[in-house]
Amino acid sequence: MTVLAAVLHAGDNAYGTSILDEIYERTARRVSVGALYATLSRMEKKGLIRSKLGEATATRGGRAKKYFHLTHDGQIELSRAIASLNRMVEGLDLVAAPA
Amino acid sequence: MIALKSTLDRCCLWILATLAPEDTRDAVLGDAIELATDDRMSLWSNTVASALPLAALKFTALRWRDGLTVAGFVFAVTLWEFTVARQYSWPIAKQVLPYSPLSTAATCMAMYVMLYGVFALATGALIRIAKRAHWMPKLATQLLMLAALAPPVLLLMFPTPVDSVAFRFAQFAAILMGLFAGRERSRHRGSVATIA
Repeated sequence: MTVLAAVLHAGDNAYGTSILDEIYERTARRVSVGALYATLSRMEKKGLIRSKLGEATATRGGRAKKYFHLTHDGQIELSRAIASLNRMVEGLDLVAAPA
Repeated sequence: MIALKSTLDRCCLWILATLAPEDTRDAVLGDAIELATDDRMSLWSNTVASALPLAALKFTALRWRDGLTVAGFVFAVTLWEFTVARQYSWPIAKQVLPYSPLSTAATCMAMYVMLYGVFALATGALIRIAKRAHWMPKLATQLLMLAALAPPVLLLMFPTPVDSVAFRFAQFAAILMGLFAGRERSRHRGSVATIA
């Protein structure tokens, strides 16, 4: 769910580093490149996201970027996961998170 | 661009390149370099945290038929040990013996090692064909190479009366030489084919 949302937030610029930055900015968790690609690969197999190869830049040592975007199924799955989470926490007396 | 001067950085990139599946290798390396450029995540910590997920991802790329091929190959290695290497090393040694200055036992052992060299050469050629035809992913061919090295390792663990460590290392070396002879030819021919 976190990765799917991060891909959506990154928009047209959703490639490895920008997705990791989105996750870090919003959850304060630094995820490794390997963990991210393992997750993205599983989601791509399930048809939730699609990828395409992009351009190579000098800051990446001349390596090409791989861009991701959510498919229609991916957006439905994300909505479903958020709805499930909301139903799970509904009525719970939670302690407020520190700001 | 990040200055990849330290040996540690190069080692990290090599580990990531080895572990990452072929279709994501460039992206993984590029992102790891980009993150390390402005110290968002060092190459070292990225490599440590990425090793397991990438290895798991790579193994999921293996198909059933790759596993069966490797299993079949292990069976072929075992067959080669018992029906060719052990059975034919002495008959061949008998033919070579009049011209050999070595003792009978040494000549027989040399023929046994040579038979494994031939086996490894054939394996190297098979790997070459499989790679060029894209029949197997890189990991399966690497497992095949490891399987080819299994006999001397197993025989070191379960020695026979004629075993010695030096003899098994000679067998190990013969297999490695055979494998790389088969693979080197492929690299050379591949480059010629690409140019053509």
